[in-house]
Amino acid sequence: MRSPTAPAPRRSARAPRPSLSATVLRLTAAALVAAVLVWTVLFADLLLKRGEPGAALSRTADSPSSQPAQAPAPVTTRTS
Amino acid sequence: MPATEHHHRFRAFGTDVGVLVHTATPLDALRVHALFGCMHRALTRFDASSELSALNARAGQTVTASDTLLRAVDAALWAARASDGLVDATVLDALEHAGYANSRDGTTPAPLVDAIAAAPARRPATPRPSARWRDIALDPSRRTIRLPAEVRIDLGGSAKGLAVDLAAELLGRRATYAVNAGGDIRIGGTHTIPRTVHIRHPLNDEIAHSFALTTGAVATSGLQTRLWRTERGFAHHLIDPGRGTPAWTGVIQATALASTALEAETLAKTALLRGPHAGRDLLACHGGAMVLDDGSLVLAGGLAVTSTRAPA
Repeated sequence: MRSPTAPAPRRSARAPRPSLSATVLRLTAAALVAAVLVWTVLFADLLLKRGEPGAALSRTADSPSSQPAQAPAPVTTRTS
Repeated sequence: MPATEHHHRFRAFGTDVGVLVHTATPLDALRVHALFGCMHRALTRFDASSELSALNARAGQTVTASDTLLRAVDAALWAARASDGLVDATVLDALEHAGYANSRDGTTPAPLVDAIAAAPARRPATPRPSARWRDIALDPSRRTIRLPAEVRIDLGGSAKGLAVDLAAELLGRRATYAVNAGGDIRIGGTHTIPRTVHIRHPLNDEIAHSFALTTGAVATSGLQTRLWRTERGFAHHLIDPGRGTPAWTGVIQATALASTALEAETLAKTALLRGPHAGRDLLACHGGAMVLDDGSLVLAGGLAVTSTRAPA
């Protein structure tokens, strides 16, 4: 039995090292795929938000430059 | 763009509360609902477990208080000072003696017309000479309150006005909002769009007057809703501090405009307690309206100049 501290046997053959151009090509392809995925998610999110009934009102509420479409509802004061 | 406001209704302080707010979700209105619920639980005198009841039970002692109670007592003391003692939170004994020991929420009030016919001679209310409210010790830095011995307080109207003002702080960044707690109203928002305010007549329940308000507060105080019969005649919840009995001044409803609901509530109650002449003079500063015993409507200050009478 080999002791735990004994060196491991050497591998008989090394795998061929990829060329620099192949590595750059792989990295570029991965970055492109990631970018496409991110932009797809952002675009879908934007489309969904446009469809929400509250999206426009949220901007209205935070922006003093836009006005609500109608006059606010009347209120009544009386003896309580 | 959505055109309407969220409208949320609930009950607190023994009255209907309505919240109108121009926003995308109902969360703001729910926050106001939670605020009113929290304040009502702490400040009601009709629940023996409320913080106010605990304070009243320990009159003469120094009591540690929550922010809510500290602010509410501070508001009541402000109202007493602003009204020269007419809006006096220490009249609770007289209020209970008049028959208002338990909540009247949900009970049908006595007919106002009958009460007016049977009311004693009209005279302006006066402050209580002893002015026990001046002896209430409030220490915000130590968060303590000390009521004088044998003095209990009712925070009713001033607490409601304070709650409306705190709700307005929550909604202040919204495009438009209105908070209406039983006639105590705050109106505002980032957009300067006028909102129509109706004043309801206490005798015929019709709209007596209308005007437009962009930002500010309106409050109405009157005899109509908390009015009951006793063995001694009719009674209501607006106590004349000097006499310790319900006030019959010749005014049955007063409406006041001001910058805050607490101020408007205090002005309206003070105007009613002062009577027709002094009351109108008081309301002339910010604007207001009074309904007298005979049902006539008296407009005061800017309200008489700029507003429009509602169609009959």
